[in-house]
Amino acid sequence: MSFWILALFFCCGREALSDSVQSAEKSESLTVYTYDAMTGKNSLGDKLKRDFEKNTGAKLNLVSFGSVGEALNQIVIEGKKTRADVLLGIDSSFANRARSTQLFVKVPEKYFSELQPSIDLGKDHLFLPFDYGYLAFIYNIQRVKFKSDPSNETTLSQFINSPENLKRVVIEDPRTSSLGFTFLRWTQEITKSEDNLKTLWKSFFPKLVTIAPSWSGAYGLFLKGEADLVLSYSTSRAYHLEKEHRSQFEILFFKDGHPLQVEGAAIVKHTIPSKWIDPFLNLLVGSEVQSQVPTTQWMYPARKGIVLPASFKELPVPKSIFLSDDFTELDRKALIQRWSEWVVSSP
Amino acid sequence: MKPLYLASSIFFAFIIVCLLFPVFHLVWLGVQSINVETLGLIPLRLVWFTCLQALISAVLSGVLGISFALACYETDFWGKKLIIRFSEVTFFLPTLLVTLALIGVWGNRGWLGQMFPWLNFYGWFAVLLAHIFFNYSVFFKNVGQSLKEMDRTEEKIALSLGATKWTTFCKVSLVKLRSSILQSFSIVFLYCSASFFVVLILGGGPRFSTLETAIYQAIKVDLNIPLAVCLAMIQICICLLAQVFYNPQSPPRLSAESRHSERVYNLNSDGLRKFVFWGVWIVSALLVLIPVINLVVSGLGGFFKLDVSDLFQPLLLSFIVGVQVSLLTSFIALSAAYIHKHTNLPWVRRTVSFICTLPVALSTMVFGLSLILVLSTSLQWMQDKWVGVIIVQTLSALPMSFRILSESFSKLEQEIYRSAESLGTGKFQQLFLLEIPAVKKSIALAMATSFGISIGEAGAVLLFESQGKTTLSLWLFKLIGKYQFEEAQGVGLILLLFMLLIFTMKEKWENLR
Repeated sequence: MSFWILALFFCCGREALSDSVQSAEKSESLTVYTYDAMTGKNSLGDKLKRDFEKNTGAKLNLVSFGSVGEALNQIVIEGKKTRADVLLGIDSSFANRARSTQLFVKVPEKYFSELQPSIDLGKDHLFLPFDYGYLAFIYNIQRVKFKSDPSNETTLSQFINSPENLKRVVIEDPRTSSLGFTFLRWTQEITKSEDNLKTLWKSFFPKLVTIAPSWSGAYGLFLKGEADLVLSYSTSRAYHLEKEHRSQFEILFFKDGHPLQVEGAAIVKHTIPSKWIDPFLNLLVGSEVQSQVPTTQWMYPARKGIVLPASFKELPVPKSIFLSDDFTELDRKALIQRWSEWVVSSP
Repeated sequence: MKPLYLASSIFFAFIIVCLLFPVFHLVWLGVQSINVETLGLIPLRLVWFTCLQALISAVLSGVLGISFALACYETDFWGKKLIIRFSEVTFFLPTLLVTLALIGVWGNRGWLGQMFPWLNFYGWFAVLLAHIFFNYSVFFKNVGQSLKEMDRTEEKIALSLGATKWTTFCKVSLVKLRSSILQSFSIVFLYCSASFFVVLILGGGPRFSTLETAIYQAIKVDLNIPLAVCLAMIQICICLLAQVFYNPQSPPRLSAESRHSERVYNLNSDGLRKFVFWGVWIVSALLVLIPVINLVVSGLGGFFKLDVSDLFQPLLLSFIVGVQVSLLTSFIALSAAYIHKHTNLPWVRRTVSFICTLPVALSTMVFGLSLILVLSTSLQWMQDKWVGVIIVQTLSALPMSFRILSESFSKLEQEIYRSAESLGTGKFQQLFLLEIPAVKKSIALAMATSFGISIGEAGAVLLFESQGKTTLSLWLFKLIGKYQFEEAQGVGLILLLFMLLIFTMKEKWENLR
């Protein structure tokens, strides 16, 4: 028993000590809320942390959450007392929700000058884009044999309705994944009417192996062989080419185009003024970190003129589909609610 | 101050602050926030599916658990002890570990899944399989115990009067087993209705949402607290209804002299022995053995892919949180058991007993939500210090720890107290010199049990996680989420070893008791 008590005191003491050190360092640090995949070894977050700490001597605290939506919620819950200075990884699915909280301030104009003009997250410049990618289905040519190469021959709608092709697909849940939600918006965009959208999804559901809560969950199932096709980004192929030297993972391109998903950073209002915001944003859109985006995030860098690795140069760039910004939080919830009802009532 | 007052102060202070006040506050908020708009967001199907999957899981677990208990009691076969031991382990395995093991075997590319390509693993099949994996042992243990201690005279009379074995079993034995079956059923129903990770990972989308996953989504994804409160209220109502059948005390046991250990159905003589042997072994292999073997084999590969420096933080944090939870739980459970033993007021005894089993009826998400709402101003502090996780895990471990300790206290004969009093000892001396040494094995057992629950629990950690720090179970969840299955299996192996170690210690102390 005495061992346990000693262990408890040791543990509590250690925690208390580390906390006092942390509070002393707080003024010399920048806290970034982001999603899980942004942290960990050899991630973009890791690179940012190393470079930021080397350049400024201040500490960069990366706090990760299951998704960027959860990170945003945490900031909303914490309100004025939030420790977050920056929200990293916000995309168009959550941009309007973030806007409506009024917890973020405009990013200074100067950071946008070197970015590609077509890559943005709204004209209000509330979010600073740092990467983007095209939504696409990825399949393994060793497992899926198409009668003829469907790429650029069909549209998404034809493909989903085709009796031949799709057998075992895994997609992300629009309720929990921004990729899943963007896909739902994509199907909404191409079907135009509510009835067509419902019909499209009704014919899609039987072809789904499962609906995974996140991109990583869905991609994991695909790699494990649980599914033949997965909803991901066209750049996923580059990952397999570059990291694993495997070329069997192909992209399915549709002739009517693919939507872009842009990720950005937002400055939390209550952090102002923080002397570490400038160095951080400079670093984020600077050419050194941007050149690491393709091989850490496996996305395209938002900055102009970045030399892409060979694996990216091989990737065809699809025609892009524009998904309207005019989509409120209420619209988002209503669409997800209707989609959930279709899932539940599907055979 | 008498030790009874001290124990009462400790116990009721903890329960009021950490359980009753937060839960009543949640209910109060729920009553206030219920409106047509919020209720309109709750599909009836959610409630229906939560109850339906729990009901089917409980029935199937019951059929399997009772069959196993009967087979193991009524006949001898090779490997019986191994089957019994495995069935005891399954209940204590962390949910995430089991989902990982089942995907590895029954998934579309799993060892057995490939043999049945027509079988779509995700959805009903996976959810029910995982629930049966965890819960058949509840029936197996409770019904097995009752069979062992049951008076079999009536069965013998029925058989001698010409009733068939089946009729005798249905009309006599089953009736006598009713109490333990109902109790097991209510526990399993409660656990399945509050199932979170199984449904989240293996369910596959909105069609398999339960109240528990909807509460999580409302808190973490939609940030719709009124909706979460309403869902939690419904969850509480369902669980309280199911708890009607739950009795925390073991069914009354017969004295040693009146126990009839002989078998009445004697499956050996019917040529059923082979059937029982193969039946039990095949089901055990498909359900438990092969998934656990898969976990070990795949885990070995994954273990070497893990970076030792990555392992240190989750391991240490799991250990720290586990130690704190086991100390706090055993302390609170000891206070409760002491009150239960020494109070002269029957209503106090009943209240303590009811409060200690109340956490069975409330899920992690409900506890977590109620704490978040009460301590919202100190949320940061709760996350930093892992206070939320420690409180929720302590409450989750309280029913089992209380049961262990109250049973031990009840075995202390009144004569010992009278002898101690005749020697002039005070109540405190009796507590420290007589009672604590007498129940110290049970305290160790309660600590091991709550440590095991803490190590494997990830729901509270997911709700209160902070600053990128993670425990072993949450790390496992995140690795599964990041599709790093091999590494996840490596972490799973560590967790499995931890659980086996705790289980072995627990068994040793249980025997010593």
